[in-house]
Amino acid sequence: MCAYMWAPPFSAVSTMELLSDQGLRVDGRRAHELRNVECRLGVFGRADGSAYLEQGNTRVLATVYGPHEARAAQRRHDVASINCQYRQAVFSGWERGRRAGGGGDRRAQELGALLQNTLESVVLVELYPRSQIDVYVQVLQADGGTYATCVNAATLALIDAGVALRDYVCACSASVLRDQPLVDLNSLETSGAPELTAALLPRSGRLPLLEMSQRFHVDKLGELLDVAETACRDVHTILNRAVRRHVSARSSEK
Amino acid sequence: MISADMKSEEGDLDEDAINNFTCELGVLSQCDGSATLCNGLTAVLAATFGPVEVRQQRELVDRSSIEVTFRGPHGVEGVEDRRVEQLVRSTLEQCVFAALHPRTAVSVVLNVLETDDLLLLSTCVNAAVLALLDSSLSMKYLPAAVTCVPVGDRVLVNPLPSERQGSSGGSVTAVYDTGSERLVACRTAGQLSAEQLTSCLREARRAAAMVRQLYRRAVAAKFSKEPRDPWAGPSRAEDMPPSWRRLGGQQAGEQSTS
Amino acid sequence: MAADMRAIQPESLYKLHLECEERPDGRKLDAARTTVVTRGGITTADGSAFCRSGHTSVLCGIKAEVCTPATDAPPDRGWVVPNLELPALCHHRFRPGPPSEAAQTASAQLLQLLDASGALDRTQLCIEAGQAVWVLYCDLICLSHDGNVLDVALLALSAALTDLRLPSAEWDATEERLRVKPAQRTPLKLGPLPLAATLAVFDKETLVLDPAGDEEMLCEASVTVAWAGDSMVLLDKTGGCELSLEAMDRCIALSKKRSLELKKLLDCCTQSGEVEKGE
Repeated sequence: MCAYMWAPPFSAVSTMELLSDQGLRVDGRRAHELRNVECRLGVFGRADGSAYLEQGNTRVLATVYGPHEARAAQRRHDVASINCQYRQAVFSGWERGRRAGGGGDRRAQELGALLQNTLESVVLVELYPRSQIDVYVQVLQADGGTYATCVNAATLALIDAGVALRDYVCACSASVLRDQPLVDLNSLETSGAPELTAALLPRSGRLPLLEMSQRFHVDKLGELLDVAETACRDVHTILNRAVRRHVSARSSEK
Repeated sequence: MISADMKSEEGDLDEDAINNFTCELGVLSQCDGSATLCNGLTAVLAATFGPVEVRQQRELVDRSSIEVTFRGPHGVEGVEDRRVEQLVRSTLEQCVFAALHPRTAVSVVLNVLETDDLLLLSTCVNAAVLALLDSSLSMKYLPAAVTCVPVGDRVLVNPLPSERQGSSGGSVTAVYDTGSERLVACRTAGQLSAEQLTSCLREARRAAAMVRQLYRRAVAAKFSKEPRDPWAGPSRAEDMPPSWRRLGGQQAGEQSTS
Repeated sequence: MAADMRAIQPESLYKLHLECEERPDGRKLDAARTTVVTRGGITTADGSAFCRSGHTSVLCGIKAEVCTPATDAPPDRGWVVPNLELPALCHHRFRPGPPSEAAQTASAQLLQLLDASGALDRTQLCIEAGQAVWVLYCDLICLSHDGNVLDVALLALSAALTDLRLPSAEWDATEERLRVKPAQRTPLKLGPLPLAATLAVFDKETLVLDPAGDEEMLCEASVTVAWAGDSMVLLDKTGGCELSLEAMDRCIALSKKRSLELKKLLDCCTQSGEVEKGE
């Protein structure tokens, strides 16, 4: 129909501006501080489990259906199969995204598969043989750290659905900028610095997911993992508090 | 074309009112049933296959599944085509005796030969019904679709483009059960007031009875022993759309002018 | 016992409810669910709105892009492209995959409603005739499906259009390029916005306003009537059981009343700019 001519300008920010000399980032945070987290469980009554999570300006909605009868192709006789789908709304980014056709573009499919791997490590699938658990994640607004927010939202939705879990999965993004490690990047910082996304099981201290884009020196990896782990534990504290608040509110209603 | 004031004077069914309709059954040999219907400047070819084997995901255990495919006259398939399919399918699902053929499918394919957009929906429904008549599929009743346009105080039924001068752009396509005269489906386009809608629906109910005459004559023509001719063509060859003339309507044109 | 009946014989249980003139969720037959409209929740979109009616919720985000009008299209008119998605997350019966027929027909209905109501004059979207026009991509996502998605989607679309702020753009003829100032934003001038009311039909005569998910599955037919101001812009009764003209008149009257309620809600929301709740 027409050629695409203009989109809102997204200026690449230089590294000098991302981290000021006083150690403040573009949004006023310190290097180790997370963005403001708001979460709500049970937002949709019709789904088995649902959760809405905001980390800064990144907003994600996760819904869980199941465990229910598995379709013949996905049925496994001894364990449940987990089916994840990651979708990003077309208006969620600064540029209008390509409309998802069948299952979305390749990046969405890759993230869906990644999410499935992450969740399979934590869901007690042996308790639900021949069943299927569907986890759908919809990104409403993307401002960096999208995948980490999706993992956190999926965990909350699974808890809301009452699916048995070994542990929380808490994820966070991290990076290093001029030898200073940063956590919980927003979209400006993602475009200017390499990004590492890590997910942590707080009880056992294991990392079911480690994803990295761009490159940085291998000497920095140890420091980065430590920083990411600390940030994930902070996320865990916040999520845990939200879950307890939700459960006590529900039980006091009854 | 009929107008409200003509009919109220006549009282009886005015057979000239369906002069703009031309149809023929059994035009395609490989289908179970087929029909071409031309209404003014709109011509639609409908073909039906069924009852045939159904895909497992669409299988219904207690009745036949009706599938409608619509191909517009130009361009790539769009979401508008799905709306036409939805109306035709929901009409046919009510009128076909689907319970007689469980775990099967009845597939209706509609191809638009020519259209002036306004009469498209009603022509598609009528063509689908004619194709099902041709295939001898059992039906509970015969639905008939009519398009009405309010112009000033009057209501025009199935008007040609030249007759629509002065309308505000609103139109009503209504499908009636010709036996019980109850409304089966209805869709409006453009802006209408509630009074205009009600008067259009009343006119459409009366006109639907005339469309029933069309069905009778079409089936009678199919089984008559006379050589197959396009039935009751318009009196002037110029009134037929070009594509219809290419299909064989030329004979009627030639006969009427000779 | 009601739970058992709901699983085995939902139609009979529902008919019992109708005989008492009350629905399973306690509403009267002509009462709609509580509707909440919130505008401007998505900062990455140029206009957005979220609308929830009972358990059905739809989020609409509008993004504006510039394009050159096609050679066979009018040179001074922009485009509006509404698209409704019914993703798998909104209800367990939807599976991931290409858009279903329900989503496609709803998208087509939304476009027809915008055109027929004349709410948005496309010439407003022209920056420079023949060179640059705005295209408004209105993407609606149904986040939770509990019946009657079209009404909620239309309300979200109408609210998002009132929230839309287009950046100021001008065509530089000497350099033949576009100059856009994203910081300066202006709202659109809108005509009467379309608002719809859907009724479900049971037993050919009983009409139920704003059907919930299970009522939508059990009904014999459904009628959607949309109004923009005093004009009816859509009446859609697709298939299902037959309806008498008297029942149709009642549908029209009920839908007109509901559309007036929705209009009041939308007006309050537009003026106050906050969350508005209405019955």
